[in-house]
Amino acid sequence: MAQTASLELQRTKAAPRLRGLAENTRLLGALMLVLILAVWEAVTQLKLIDPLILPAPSAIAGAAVKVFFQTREIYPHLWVSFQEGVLGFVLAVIIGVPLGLVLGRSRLFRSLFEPYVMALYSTPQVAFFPLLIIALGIGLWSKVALVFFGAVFSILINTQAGVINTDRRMVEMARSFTASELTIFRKVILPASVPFIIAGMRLGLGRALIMVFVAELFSATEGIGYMIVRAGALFDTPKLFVGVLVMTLAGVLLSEGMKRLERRLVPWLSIREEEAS
Amino acid sequence: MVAQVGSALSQPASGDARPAGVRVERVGHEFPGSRQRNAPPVRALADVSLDVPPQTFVSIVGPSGCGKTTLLRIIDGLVMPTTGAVWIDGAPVTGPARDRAMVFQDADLLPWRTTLANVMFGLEVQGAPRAACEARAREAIARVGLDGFEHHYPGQLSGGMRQRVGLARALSTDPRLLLMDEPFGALDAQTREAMQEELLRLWEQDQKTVVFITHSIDEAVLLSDTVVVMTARPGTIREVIPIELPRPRWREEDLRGDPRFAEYRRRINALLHEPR
Repeated sequence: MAQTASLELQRTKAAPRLRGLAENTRLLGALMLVLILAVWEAVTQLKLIDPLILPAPSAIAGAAVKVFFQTREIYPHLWVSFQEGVLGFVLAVIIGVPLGLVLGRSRLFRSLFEPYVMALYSTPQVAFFPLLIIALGIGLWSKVALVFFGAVFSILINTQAGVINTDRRMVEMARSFTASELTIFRKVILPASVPFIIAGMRLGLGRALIMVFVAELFSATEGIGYMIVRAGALFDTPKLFVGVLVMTLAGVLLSEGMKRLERRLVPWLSIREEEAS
Repeated sequence: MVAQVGSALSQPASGDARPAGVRVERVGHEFPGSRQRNAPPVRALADVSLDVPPQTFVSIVGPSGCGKTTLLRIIDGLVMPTTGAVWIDGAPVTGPARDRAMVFQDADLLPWRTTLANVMFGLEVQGAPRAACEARAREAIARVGLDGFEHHYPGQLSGGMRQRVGLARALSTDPRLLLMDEPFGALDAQTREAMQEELLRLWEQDQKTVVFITHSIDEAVLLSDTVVVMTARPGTIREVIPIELPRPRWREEDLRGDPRFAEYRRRINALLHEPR
């Protein structure tokens, strides 16, 4: 008790200074970025590194302006990758969450299916891609399927873990108030699993993004991955970097989106974090 | 605060709200063993019989693992006894029912629900209309002194406040029998005393039948009309001690100074620690 109190005291004393520092770190961060870009630019301008391997930031910016505003060639690629990623991921959520709930609830289903789920989860799912191409062709759907396989297991396994880890005492409390099994599922187990489901979605999203790229690496005529591969083949490294940066940006935006979703769906956890920090 | 409360709460929630009488008849319970973990079956309770007249406050004390909690869960209907039966006003207990409400050891609140929503949970699963749920929940919240914390999550409340939420949740369903499983066990001494006083005050208002489990002899004597002392596993009843101290008892400084209080304490302590 006494220890927490003294810590509390220290924190309140240090608070104004810390807040000042926090503002400064943002500024420092921006300065750091400028510094990195300047050094990078200088290194490439001075030809210390072959610009074919590491193009200058200005060259990358130029390539970005070209593909976004002049030739506008990037938009079809974006659209195709977007479709593959979204369709595959949404399917993974639609199928992974209910299956995870069922596996979490039913010991029988778990004993029947869990070994296969774990085996499939452990397999590098890319290994299925040749088969998926045979089954679904080289168009959109084989890629959607690969993204789906990449994402679905993280979602399923996490959902299942959420159901299994629901505090037994909460279930018993509900039962004591005469809740039916369905009510217990809807009002206790499902909400208790939401943080796990979101964690699974976040993992799945990362894997989905990788699968979009890998699928387009294999066999594609469109998509950001394809654009990167093609730019590489043509030694057009600035364009290659544009593609990579687009994927990075997509990853960052998507995980930020997931964080927001989490704050909306799981407000009770973020409130506790805010108070703890 | 207290004066304006009670209008809706004194209205029965589901028909009859008279405090119930409980009869525990030769209840025994055995938890099945596990061949996988090579664990033999555990006898938790043996031949427990107990009569709790309506409007009495009964505490059960006993060493850890004497099956107190199991007995309470059997009375609630969460666990069916291996032998014997429990009767509430002459009707056998076959499962949880609306005439009983439990206050749990760790409050067992739902972390994603605010105070108000947590208190509403009991009424909600019992199928009360939403508006009525909310009105009754708000009244119960006022009754336990949590006004102003309706929209806090359990993670933002102290241990004592969480227990108040658990108590409000149970009270809001207007049970005829209140079952309390060491509700103040995890609280610090000061909060615990405050909660005991609060409980005495609430009990004086409607004198519900209460079965209260505790480790604390002081708490048992202070709160109860009857203290039941149990023996270690398998739990049996060692002695039933009527506590003949005047009520209302919320000025507990007076009570703790009472020589009879000390005598009850000494006696229960002796029963708990001396071999039979």
